[in-house]
Amino acid sequence: MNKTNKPSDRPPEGTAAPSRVTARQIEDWLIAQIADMRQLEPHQVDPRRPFVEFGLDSLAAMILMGDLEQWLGRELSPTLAWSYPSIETLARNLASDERA
Amino acid sequence: MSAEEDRPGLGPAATLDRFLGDPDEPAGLFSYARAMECDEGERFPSEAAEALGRWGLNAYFVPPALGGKLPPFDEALSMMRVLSRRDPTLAIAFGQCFLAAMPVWLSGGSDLQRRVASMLVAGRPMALALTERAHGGDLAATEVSARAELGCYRLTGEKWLINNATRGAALTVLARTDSSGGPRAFSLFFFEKDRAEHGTFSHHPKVRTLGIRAADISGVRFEGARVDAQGLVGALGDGIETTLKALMVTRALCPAFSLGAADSALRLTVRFARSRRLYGGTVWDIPASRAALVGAFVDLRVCETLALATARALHVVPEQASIWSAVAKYYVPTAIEATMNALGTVLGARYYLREEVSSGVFQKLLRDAMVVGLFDGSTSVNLHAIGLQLHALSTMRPRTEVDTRRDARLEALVDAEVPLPPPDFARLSLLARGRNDAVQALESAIDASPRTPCAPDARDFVQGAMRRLLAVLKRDEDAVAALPRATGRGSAELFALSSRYCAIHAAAVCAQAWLRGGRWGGDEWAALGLDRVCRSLDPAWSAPPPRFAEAVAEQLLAHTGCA
Repeated sequence: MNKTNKPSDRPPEGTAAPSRVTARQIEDWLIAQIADMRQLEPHQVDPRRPFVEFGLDSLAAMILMGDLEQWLGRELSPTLAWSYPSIETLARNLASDERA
Repeated sequence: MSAEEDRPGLGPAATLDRFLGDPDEPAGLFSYARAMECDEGERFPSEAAEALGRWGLNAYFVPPALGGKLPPFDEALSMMRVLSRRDPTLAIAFGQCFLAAMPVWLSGGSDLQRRVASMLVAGRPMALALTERAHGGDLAATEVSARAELGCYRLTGEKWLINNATRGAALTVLARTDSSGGPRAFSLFFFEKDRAEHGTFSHHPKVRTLGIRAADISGVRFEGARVDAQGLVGALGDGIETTLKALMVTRALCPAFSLGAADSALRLTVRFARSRRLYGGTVWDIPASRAALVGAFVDLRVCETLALATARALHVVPEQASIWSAVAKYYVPTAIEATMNALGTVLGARYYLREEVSSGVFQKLLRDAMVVGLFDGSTSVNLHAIGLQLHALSTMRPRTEVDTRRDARLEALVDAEVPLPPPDFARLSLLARGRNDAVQALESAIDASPRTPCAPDARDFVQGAMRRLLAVLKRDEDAVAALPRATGRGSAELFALSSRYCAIHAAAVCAQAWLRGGRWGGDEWAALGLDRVCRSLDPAWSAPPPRFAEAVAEQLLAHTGCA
């Protein structure tokens, strides 16, 4: 089922991640972003599938990293999603980074 | 009189300009007449290329740390521009060598860097080989593959529509190194023909083109062709990232090809207009023709200001280069094509001839200039890249506080006298993270005082134009916020917004140059430049006072030696 993509439906901008973010929280954030972009319900976004299956090409994946670093409050490599090309692997990598 | 001669001391661009001589001298090696012969015969200008090799042009593509003379990028831009004035085909052929080397300067191991440096200094041409027949600029669809063997790689597949592919001694090749796909599945290899076995590679015949007809646009077919392990540029899987970063540098320099062509086109058209008698006067006396020539000169100055600032941005704000380079690579070739067409209407029937005025070179310059918007990140590719970042740019712009460091950066961006730090390629970022000093400074520039005294009418006009541009920018930022999130190719509306953003950026850069004392002095060119951008965004924009065009007309005559 597609929902409308009005600005008011979007995940609120400017909300910051909690100070110690878990892999699950990062996954949920990524799922919400992709669901919003592709007009899907969150349960339709499988975190194990590669980003490219959701229509995110290499450039769009970089832009997503730009949004993610805004939410996390720290700089990320723009090509991080290239090296960890699914929601699950990216979230796991970032969360273990956070704990380090 | 050229812009370079205004500078104290002679940099390499001015020295090269003198070496190349007057292109209207038919016997000269770099004359329009010679360039036309090669163009008509579709024969590469080898004699001219060899002379440039002996002059030592290739050393300027090699960083000083490797024994070369790579100058600051604004000087490099000027060098390519003066060469393009004589023959864009020649300039582009040499530029392609730098393009091939750039990934190696960014990511190559030191042995490979030394190897490439020595080849360049020895005058051996090379090529960057990205595109393939089936998928053009879509790097992630690359089919040429590299299979790892003991101590080497084997390349298979075909690169097509590659400049210098046949005359080149080497190619920097983007190849697939992982069959599972995704942007990390590709790597760059420096393929040397001398080191591959006979019969493992062959050349695609020359592809005939509308412009740069004498260029070696061809291709290479690889059939298990060998590259040493040492020929891998950077790490496995870094191919696309390294390519994109290298292109950010080269896209900032490509405007040089357009600028050179347009500068020559302008000079010969003005000379023609001053001498050609019609209706009891000269073409210059016809108000519409003079207005068109002044307009073309203003466009050229706007593009030149933008291009120089962009080249300097590679040194000053490499973190923002992903925006600056994409804007310049879209804006300059597009604007210059329109400028040259406008010049053609002044030339009248003679624009259509392949002989007569300056050996008929005008039509060649026009056709040659048309390629710049097509290669190495076409117009669409650049607008798409900008479009993807518009949301971040729109969000950041209103939030930025004025800071004195930004002021110093803007100073360095537009003032040629400010010394530039050496380029720090590690700071090149594929995302600008919403930052663009020129556009962010637009609001505060409106009420800022220009450094040099300014005629009140020009100042009022420039400030009014900046206010108008800011209003358009804010309206567009609201439109960006209201768009559905773009993925993939992006919407037509996003393209239109990107295109307007580029115009506003160009105007914002010119405004900074005006504020801080433009290269050419005087205020009228900046007023007319901003006027032209405003008019392109808003046809109802009101006309500037006539005296601006009169002042710039005098400057044009001085610039072209036709006073």
